Amino acid sequence: MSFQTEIGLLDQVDGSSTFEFATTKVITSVAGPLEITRMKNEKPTEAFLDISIKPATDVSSTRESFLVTKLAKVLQKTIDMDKYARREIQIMVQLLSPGESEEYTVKELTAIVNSVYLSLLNGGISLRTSFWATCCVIDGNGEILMRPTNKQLRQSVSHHIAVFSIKDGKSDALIFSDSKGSFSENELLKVLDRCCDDIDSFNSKVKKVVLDRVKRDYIWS
Amino acid sequence: MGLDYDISTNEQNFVLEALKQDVRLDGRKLNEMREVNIKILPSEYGHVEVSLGRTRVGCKVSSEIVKPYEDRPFEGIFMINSEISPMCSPFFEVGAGGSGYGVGSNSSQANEEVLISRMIEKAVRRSNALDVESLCIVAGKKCWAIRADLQFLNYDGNFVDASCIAVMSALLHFRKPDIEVAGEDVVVYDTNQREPVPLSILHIPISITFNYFNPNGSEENIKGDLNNELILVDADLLEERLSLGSMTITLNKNQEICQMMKSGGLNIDASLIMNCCSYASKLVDELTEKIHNVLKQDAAVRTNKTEEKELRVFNER
Amino acid sequence: MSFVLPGNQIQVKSANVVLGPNVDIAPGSINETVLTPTTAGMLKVKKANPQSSLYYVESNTKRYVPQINDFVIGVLFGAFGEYFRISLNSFSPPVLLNQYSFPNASKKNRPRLSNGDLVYARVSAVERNVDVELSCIDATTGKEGGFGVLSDGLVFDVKLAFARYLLFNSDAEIFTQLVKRCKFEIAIGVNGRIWIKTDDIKTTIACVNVIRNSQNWTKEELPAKIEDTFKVLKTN
Repeated sequence: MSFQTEIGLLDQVDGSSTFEFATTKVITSVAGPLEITRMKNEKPTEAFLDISIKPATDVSSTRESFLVTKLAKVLQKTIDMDKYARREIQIMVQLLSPGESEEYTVKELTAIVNSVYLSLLNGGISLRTSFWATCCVIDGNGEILMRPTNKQLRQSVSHHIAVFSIKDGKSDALIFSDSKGSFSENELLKVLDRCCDDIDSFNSKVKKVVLDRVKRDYIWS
Repeated sequence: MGLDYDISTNEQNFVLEALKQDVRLDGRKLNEMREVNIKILPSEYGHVEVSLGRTRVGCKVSSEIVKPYEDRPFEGIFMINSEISPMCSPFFEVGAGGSGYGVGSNSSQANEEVLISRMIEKAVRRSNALDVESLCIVAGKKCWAIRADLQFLNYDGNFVDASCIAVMSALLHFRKPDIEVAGEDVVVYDTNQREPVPLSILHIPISITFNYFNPNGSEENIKGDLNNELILVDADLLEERLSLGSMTITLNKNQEICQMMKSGGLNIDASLIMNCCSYASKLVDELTEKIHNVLKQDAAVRTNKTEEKELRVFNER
Repeated sequence: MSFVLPGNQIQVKSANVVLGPNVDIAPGSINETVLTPTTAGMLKVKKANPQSSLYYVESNTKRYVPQINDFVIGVLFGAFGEYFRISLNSFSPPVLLNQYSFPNASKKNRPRLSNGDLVYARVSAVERNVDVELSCIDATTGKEGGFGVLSDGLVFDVKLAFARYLLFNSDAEIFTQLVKRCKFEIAIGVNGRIWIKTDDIKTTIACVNVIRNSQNWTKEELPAKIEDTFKVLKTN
């Protein structure tokens, strides 16, 4: 199983991408550095991240706010915030197809993190490092399943998401991890190991899709 | 206060001069629409993406069973969510307009958003395009709630017309699960058990927006004795920002006017409005035809798939 | 020249390094010998001067971040004190243009500009925590040097790398093709804005469409596509 993406598809924002894996699909956009629209948001030494997530149906609720705080944690560590003092960076997420029941958010968060990463590259926002997210579940038999389907997710004992920074094409440091359900410390360490390997398996494809986009940006030369 | 687009005097003068010569920046004539593209997403029912030139709007229809409103026990519920996010352009603000209620912000962008959502509301919901009485399951107890969530993806002018087409095609394409009523109990069948059923759509309202320019510059023609205004259809971003007023007419193919809105701007002679109406009616016929064609093509693809599945089951036996 | 992503480690051989756009010192590298790109693009190395080399990552984006001595096209949208407020990209932070930063400007002889005017200028000061400043005086001669108000014509947006390419390559294929067809005046700002003026409306529209759309054309298909664009406009 792999992923599909389309980078730079919107033209009013600075960067954009869609990201789809295992029936979960999102579209994200990035604009910035912009002039601060509301003075109270201005931060004297770093960028203000204006993140907003819209669900596929209905208006944003606490579920989306929950996702926003998690996404902000990842982005504050990866965007070069100091470079954009007193500026605003707008990050918009539109969920297109959740691919999981309402009580779960792992698959959506995984798709959002990866899509935002591609959008940030497309928008030329300064990053401290590359990053990538993946998710998995532990089922009743203690087996780890990477990038689960909705059915696997519902039958799982615990589910996990991990975001790793990428250094020279290899996953490097853990940026963010979030787990829910019951699991032992040992299991968590095993999960993180597996996530690390899973992210490595994506690297060549990520590199290819971004390179394709860069080549398309220079088609005239 | 949100920020506005930078538009120079040079652009303003140029656009006006070009319009006087019946050319627009993308090479269209004044009365030409941009190409309309309706894409139905294959994974589910009632999710479409409409593009009008570079303007892109998605619409996703969903349904659930709820209790009807106290004062309308025989009617189902139909909602349109038209919140505009800055994804389509940083011009719009997060949560500025809400769904038709001007909460929080007083900026011109918020007003614009409210205007767009009210217009869609009037064009589609108030014109009874969707038969809400058919959504009733058990009077006063249970009914279908249909919601249409609009996703504004890219802004290049004329959101109203694009969203109207998106909402109507999505409603026409949507299928709700089949149900069976026994007394007060309702059995909802899974889409694999029974073919889901389409909504009862009474007519297809389509909006056409006209924008006005004064050939004599930006000074308003107060006396109204001149009526050589430049009228153009389906304005793009720059034209929409520069125009001195707009009028949206919503029609169906029976030539019934569902809604008409002209809020302020240039004075327009009544005879010109009549011309606009008859021209709009021509465009509406073409667009209705287009929607039907797209739906027909999609239906053909889908039946092929189900037939295939049935045949395979048959073979296995 | 190679393709790089943020997080890639660039080992630097020479001790003297000039950091260009989109390149930073890798975190944790104390003696400054490891660099890392901040965005995706093509890594390029140039000799900045005999002792040091310049590292930068070439990437094509839309939003301009001011750099000193860049040539830009801005829209004037306000004035306060002795400054004009100029916008270089829609929704970007505004920059300033001093009323005395015009050739021969004095208290008695102020430049007459109004809102919505287009200005071709040079970025004259970029300091952290201070507003960016423009100037319409040529730094080397102290004269006008082609800067100032751009009147008539039409302005449009392109992506930044394309604007840079056109500004520094006046012999670009697209110009040699356009020159064969019409007479035009052009000003290119590296903030992704191009101003063009020709003798009539239709030719201007054709030129704008050709330049803007050529961002998606390969060199090989350029002549045919230009031919098409002009043909369509002539028949209308």
